[in-house]
Amino acid sequence: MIWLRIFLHRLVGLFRKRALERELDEEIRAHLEMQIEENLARGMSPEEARFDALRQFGGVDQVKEVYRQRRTLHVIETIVQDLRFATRMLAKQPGFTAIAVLALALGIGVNTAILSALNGFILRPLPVEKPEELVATHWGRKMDERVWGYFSYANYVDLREQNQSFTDLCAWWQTAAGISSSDSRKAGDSERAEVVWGELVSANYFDVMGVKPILGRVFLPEEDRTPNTHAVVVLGYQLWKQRFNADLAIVGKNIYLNGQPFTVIGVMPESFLGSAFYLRQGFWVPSMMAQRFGRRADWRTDRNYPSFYLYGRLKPGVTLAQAEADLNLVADNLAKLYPDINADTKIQLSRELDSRYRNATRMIKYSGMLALCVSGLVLLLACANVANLMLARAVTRAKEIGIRLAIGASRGRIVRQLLTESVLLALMGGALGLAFAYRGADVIRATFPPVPYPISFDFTPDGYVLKWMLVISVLTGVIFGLAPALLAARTDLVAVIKGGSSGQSRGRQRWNLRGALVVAQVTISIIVLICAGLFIRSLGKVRQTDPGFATENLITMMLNLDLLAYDQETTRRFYPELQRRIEKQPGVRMAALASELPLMDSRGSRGPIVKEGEADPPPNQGTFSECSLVTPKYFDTLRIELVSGRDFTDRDNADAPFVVIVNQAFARRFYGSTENALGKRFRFSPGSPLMEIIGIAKDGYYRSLFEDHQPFMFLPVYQHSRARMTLLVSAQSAGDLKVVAESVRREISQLDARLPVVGVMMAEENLSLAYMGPRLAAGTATIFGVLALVLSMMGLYSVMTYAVSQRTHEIGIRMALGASLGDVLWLIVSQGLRMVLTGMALGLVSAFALTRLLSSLLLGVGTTDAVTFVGVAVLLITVALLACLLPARRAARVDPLVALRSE
Amino acid sequence: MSPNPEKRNEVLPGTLNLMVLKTLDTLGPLHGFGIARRIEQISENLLQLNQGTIYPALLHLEQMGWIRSKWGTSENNRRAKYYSITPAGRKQLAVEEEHWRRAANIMTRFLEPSEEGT
Repeated sequence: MIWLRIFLHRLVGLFRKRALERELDEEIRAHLEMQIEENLARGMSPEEARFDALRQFGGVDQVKEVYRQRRTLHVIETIVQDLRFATRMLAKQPGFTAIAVLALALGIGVNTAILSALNGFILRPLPVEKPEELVATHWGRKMDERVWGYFSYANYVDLREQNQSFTDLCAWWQTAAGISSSDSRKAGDSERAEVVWGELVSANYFDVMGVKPILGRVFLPEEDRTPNTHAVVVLGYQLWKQRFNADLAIVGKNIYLNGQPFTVIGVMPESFLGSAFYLRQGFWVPSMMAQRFGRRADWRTDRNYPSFYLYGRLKPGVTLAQAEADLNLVADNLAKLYPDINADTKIQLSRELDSRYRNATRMIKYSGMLALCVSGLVLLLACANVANLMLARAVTRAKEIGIRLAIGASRGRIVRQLLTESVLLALMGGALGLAFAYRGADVIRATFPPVPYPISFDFTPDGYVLKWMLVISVLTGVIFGLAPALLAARTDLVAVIKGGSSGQSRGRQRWNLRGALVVAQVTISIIVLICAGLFIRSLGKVRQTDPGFATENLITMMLNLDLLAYDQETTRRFYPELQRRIEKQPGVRMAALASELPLMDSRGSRGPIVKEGEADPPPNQGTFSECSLVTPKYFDTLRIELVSGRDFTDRDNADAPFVVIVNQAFARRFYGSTENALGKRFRFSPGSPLMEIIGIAKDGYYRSLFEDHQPFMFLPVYQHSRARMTLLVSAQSAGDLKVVAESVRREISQLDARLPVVGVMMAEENLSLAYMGPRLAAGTATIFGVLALVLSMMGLYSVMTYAVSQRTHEIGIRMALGASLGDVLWLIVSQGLRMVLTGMALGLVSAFALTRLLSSLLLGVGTTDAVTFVGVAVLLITVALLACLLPARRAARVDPLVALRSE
Repeated sequence: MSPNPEKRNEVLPGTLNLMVLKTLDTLGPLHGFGIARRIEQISENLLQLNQGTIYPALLHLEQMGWIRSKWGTSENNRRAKYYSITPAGRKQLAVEEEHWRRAANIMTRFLEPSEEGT
């Protein structure tokens, strides 16, 4: 505790400096006077008395200095001193400071932007209590790798009751609903319903997630026990604020979802979006109300109806591995009890953070890490630039530093003071870079396609990002400031104080270091530029790839009859009627409906596929195939070629034999060739009717442009049933698109004015989700590339300018001896080119080795694509030549006489 | 009056604290000059003391809590800072006195001729 006493004492000393200094002065003066008095009494003269007193005292200033050091927190004092001095020095050279801060701002800003983006995408934890404890469950078949996240309600209940590892397990099911202000079943009601997204949840949901409401309460267990009894709802913050004007008396009032009343019992805080990290939910209702949201009546009992996602919290002391083993025991138990459905299933657990984007999580993390690495390289470039500038500056400050060393400053003190300058620069750059990062957040958001889901990302830098940026700024300051500081403090004292050209020999050594920095910068720039080039080419190839359907003149929009709680019969009649009416509209070439537009977040699949005459495979074995439900004329509307057979017609309805159209890959996979497949029949196991293959469609891309061609089935929607469909309208010409879209909407509201229409996309917009990844990559990489080029050329230019100024004398001699303008130009430019070519060679070789890291992100472009490598090399040489020529021309204009006279 | 300068010892590090504490304990509250003169007196000027060094030592002792300071008036009506020992300081003094006696004892034993053996 003694040190605490001393610390506090010294802290006080820091603040009362002036007063304590006066006191010390007074005390010492009193001491000396008393000694003088004594001496006078002994008979000395006044001068002798004073001299003797001082002699006996010892050095007054030394004593004062030692006293001062003990009195305060010396460290803080020196830091404050250094800061003041650093600020003065930087303010004295505003040009240097501005350039350095700008370069640093670009480097740090780019890193901040990437870190904020990563944070907003995958790093930030859910805004719940102890988010790291949340665990997501997945199930899969023992025979393969793929896992799914959705469970049937019956399985959920058993898992919840029979497990030993979770304190509790909750279930949630995403749904959309139409929200209106009254019971819109009434006749004559024409208010168009607005679509809101929400979740059907188990009663324990909010407890397991760990959120408390800001108004009212959450569900009670009895509210989620029996179906269709408790029509209560908890509102999301944004919905409450926007649609209900943050009404503080909302608890107890009714709102209307899908035309039916629900009583509001609570409101969630603003930070809580829902179970899925990036989707903002508007409401939560008990799972027992599922039928009001279009679910089948047997949703609760059908063990084969995959619906709910599950989250749980582990009991304290239970590890993920233990819990997984435990749940697998339960799964095996269920497999014995219900072999038809649960046989051969396994359960996998993962933390919520790792399962955020399901299968895409690893890819997103990987690209994020790559982006962070490249932005780190850009930061290094900025550091090299500023280090270069500081080295140049160190030469001009040599005299000042020499004098300070002579007076008695220690080298360590000087180094510390210079480091303070560089850290101060870095912090200023970091602050400016933060402004860049905020802009970056906006740019990223602009690349998002207009999907009709309530996606909500927050890319603004938050506490976590700011903390890291502070650390990185300080580290940056140390990195680029250390070498120049150490070099500066090594100045040869005598020579520098004498002044003169002995700075030359030091200068040459520093120049080699600066040259090396330029080479390093060029190397890094090449790598970054090649990455940019590869991504740009990849984007070009992506856009050239034929997605398998025509987007020219195509208008699409999404309709969801669940929102109006239509029954099956009304649904069956609605869509053909709509199709008929739309085709009659002027400007419409053809129209159709499909359960999903290809490449647009599609995920339907059915199976297992059983060919005619074969036996059912055991449960949870067998192959599934992706599929889509379509109306007749689907293929024509999207201009997908049917290589053989025919399209669906109106006669392929529920009373006619079951039919199906498959693609070439399906035919090859299951029947060996497309010729064999036509006319064959297959079914889904267990117990569905046989379907005849009546047509073969050309292969296309269905989930992503990066996939291999996979089997796909098209089922006629009139033989199966579906409420949520995408309307596809092919217009006759490009000019009519907006007009046609409007008339289509009018037709829809004439059929039912309450039906909301979402996600209207035209022409190329239909591919926006498919293009989003490549676009983002190319855009970010281009920004990096431009920054890298600018920073390294700035470095080259400044080094060349300095080199010219150093060689003025030499140039003067050469010109006096008869060198021509061209000779001088070549002299200077060759010096620069040597650095550039060295850097380029190193860069090309490194890029060759490193770009294989990008292979999973590129489409249609090899990682050693010759066009890119050559193109980047040419670009760099051209710009570098320019950067060298400008100073070279200045050198060539030197007047030999002036040069010879100068030293 | 002062003996030959070459014969004076330098102040051993750490001993100054002990001397200051003992002085204050014996003489009561005293100002810096008084303490310095007293130390010189007791050592009969065998100790070479730069009087100024007393002040950093006094600051250290005050920070450790073994002495406290107060501004007062001296005999000649001069404003001076007076230092006095605290109870904690008295404890520390006892501890250090004991430490010194034991050290001196051990050294004496080494330096005296042995009583055993020839």
